[in-house]
Amino acid sequence: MEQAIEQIQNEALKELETAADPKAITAISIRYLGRKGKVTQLLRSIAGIAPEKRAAAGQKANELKATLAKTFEDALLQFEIKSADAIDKVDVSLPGRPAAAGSLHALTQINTQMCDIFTRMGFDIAEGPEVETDYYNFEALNFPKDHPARDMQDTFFVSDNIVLRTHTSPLQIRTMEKQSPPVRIIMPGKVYRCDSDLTHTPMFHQVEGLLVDENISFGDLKGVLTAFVHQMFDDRTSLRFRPSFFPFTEPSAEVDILCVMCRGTGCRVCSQTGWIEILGSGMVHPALFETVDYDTSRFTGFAFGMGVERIAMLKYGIDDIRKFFENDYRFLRQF
Amino acid sequence: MKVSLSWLKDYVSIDMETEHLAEVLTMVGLEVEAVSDRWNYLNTVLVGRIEDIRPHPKADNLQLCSLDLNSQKINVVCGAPNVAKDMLTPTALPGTIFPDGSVLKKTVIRGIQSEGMICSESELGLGSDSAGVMALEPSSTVGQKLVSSLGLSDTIFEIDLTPNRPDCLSIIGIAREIAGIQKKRLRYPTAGLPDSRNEISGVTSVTIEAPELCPRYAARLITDIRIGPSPFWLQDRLMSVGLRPINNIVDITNFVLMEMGQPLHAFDFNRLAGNRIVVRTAVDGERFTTLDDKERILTKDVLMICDAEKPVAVGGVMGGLNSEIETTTRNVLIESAYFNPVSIRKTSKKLGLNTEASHRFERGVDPEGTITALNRAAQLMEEIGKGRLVEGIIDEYPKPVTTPTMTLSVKDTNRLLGTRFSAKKLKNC
Repeated sequence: MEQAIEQIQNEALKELETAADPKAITAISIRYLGRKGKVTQLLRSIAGIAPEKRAAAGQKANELKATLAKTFEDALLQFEIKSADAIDKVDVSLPGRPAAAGSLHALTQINTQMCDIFTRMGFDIAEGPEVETDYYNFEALNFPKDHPARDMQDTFFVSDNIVLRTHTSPLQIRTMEKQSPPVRIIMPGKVYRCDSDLTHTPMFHQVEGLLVDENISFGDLKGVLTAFVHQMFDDRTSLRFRPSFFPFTEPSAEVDILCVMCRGTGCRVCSQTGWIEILGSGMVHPALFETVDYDTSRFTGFAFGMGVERIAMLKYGIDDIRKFFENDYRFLRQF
Repeated sequence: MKVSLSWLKDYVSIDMETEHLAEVLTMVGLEVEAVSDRWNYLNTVLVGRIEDIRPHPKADNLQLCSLDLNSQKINVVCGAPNVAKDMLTPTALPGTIFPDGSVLKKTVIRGIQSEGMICSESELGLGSDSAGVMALEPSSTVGQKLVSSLGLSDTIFEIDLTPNRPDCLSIIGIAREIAGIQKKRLRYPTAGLPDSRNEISGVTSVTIEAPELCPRYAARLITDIRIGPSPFWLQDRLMSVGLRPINNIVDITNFVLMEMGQPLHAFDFNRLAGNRIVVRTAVDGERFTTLDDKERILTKDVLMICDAEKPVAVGGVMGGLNSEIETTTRNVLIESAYFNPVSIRKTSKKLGLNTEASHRFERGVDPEGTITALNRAAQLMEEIGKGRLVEGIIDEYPKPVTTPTMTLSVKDTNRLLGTRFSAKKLKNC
């Protein structure tokens, strides 16, 4: 009996040495300790041994069972420790992973470029609230209540008298109320209109300019805008001033630039006209000066306003304004 | 706003190329957004010769026509009663989009393939005759495009007007600009009406109870009118600027609206209680059904045109169903008025009704053009509607609108523009 026990133990240990992975160990364990395993069978055979030897044999067999169980368990544990070690191993000599660097949004870049051009010409930056009163957004800008000119801008009303500003023009009044001429300001900011398609989003950005002083004429307006367009695009980009209407300027003009895509020969971008509208402008309406108590016999001024998205679309050849606000990484990373 | 080049030419001679005219209008502040060929939709309609006519095997009232189009021959199933061998007729090919919006496709009609369509005048938007297919001059060239064969040509300008230019909300308004640009005279249409007696004041009257909202209200009366479709030239003018012809009386008011920019309204005179007009504001909660068959609940600041008993129109916005011109209408009262722009705008916003009339009134109609437009409409109704003019005119004008005098300072002009124009140069601009 003792011989049999020793033989089984040796066989088991030998087999265990060949086990390459935890699965193999479990298989061996089942072969010896399982329901039909060799040790189990040995234990069953003890019943047939002569009573006087039975106790000692039983004890030995049980010892064998315990020893093997412990051995298999230890072997499994060894594997676990080994594989855990492999995972935890840190190669401290590897170079660090670089953090992805972001970039300024295309609109921020264009906005900065536009403001830079005007600040170099001597304009100061002015900013103001995006939630405005009807007075500053319309009334003081010579849009009387119930005037059809209000239809020109689809307005978000917060209440009867509060709106999301439809243009940055309220800042003209806010600035002139606080300051005497000369006024030379550039007003960048978000504006809101109830409109959404390929070329309109409910929120967009404007850059507006206002210059009031003695002897300011439409000629100065043309000069400043021409200098701006030549720096923003290039000096081959000519301008066309087309008569138009805004309640807060008189005379008013929309400004077209020679199509940046086809250079005036006509293409899809300019609807075959050779010209692209980029901004509205004009001489400040005397009604505004009266509102802010400026002497209309002494001072004249001009104002202009343009969409940042529009300029950015022309600069980068983007055909859908909504791309600016979808935050698609593949779009944003190009700027 | 749509403007037809050939209609413009009724009032001013134009010696510019179309493209140049579009640019010139844009550069005086009337932005031309699009220029299109009015007859573009007829490009797939050719002159066809009926070679052969056979009965349809499965339908008694249909026939099979073989058409010679010079470059090809096609078979068409047709129900027109006037087809004849060797007749020349407009033949539409698949893909043609008709004025009613339908698209022509190759189809099988009662088991027989039809590869096109031979058309009546009305189907092509070329006339009012819908009784049979249109017969073309025997001298027409088979296979030629119909537009070339008939010499059809018109250009439509789509003009985006800024809100400060209500004076241009009409064909004459645009023609006036062109005349100015070309330094040419404008030819206004004249209406020669026999007006020796004041017959009308014995038949009807106008009372303005709200002169602030309705400073002027003029009216004329035409009796014994025959309601029917308008002559083709009139329908054609309306269709050229995107309006749908309805009947001769309504068409005339729309024609004068488009021609002169003065909105007019025609009432069935016999349906006016007391045969008179009262202009007053509504009562809060008053109910009224407009021409579009919608019931509106009114407030006390809405201006209403009423008869002796009830409202018959929302002043300057839309007429009422209860005084609409019907096929049985015999006597027509024509309204030509000047309404307060702010009041019209408020009403139009409140009722959610933006009409050709309200669009013009809220921007400002010429208060001095009231009578000219009224006379023009009366004359056309007499002529086209075969009516009898009740002599005389009612012109209630309790609140005369004063024409402002504008001063242009040469010095300020030059100061503002940075120019050195002389007074003489400015005068001649």
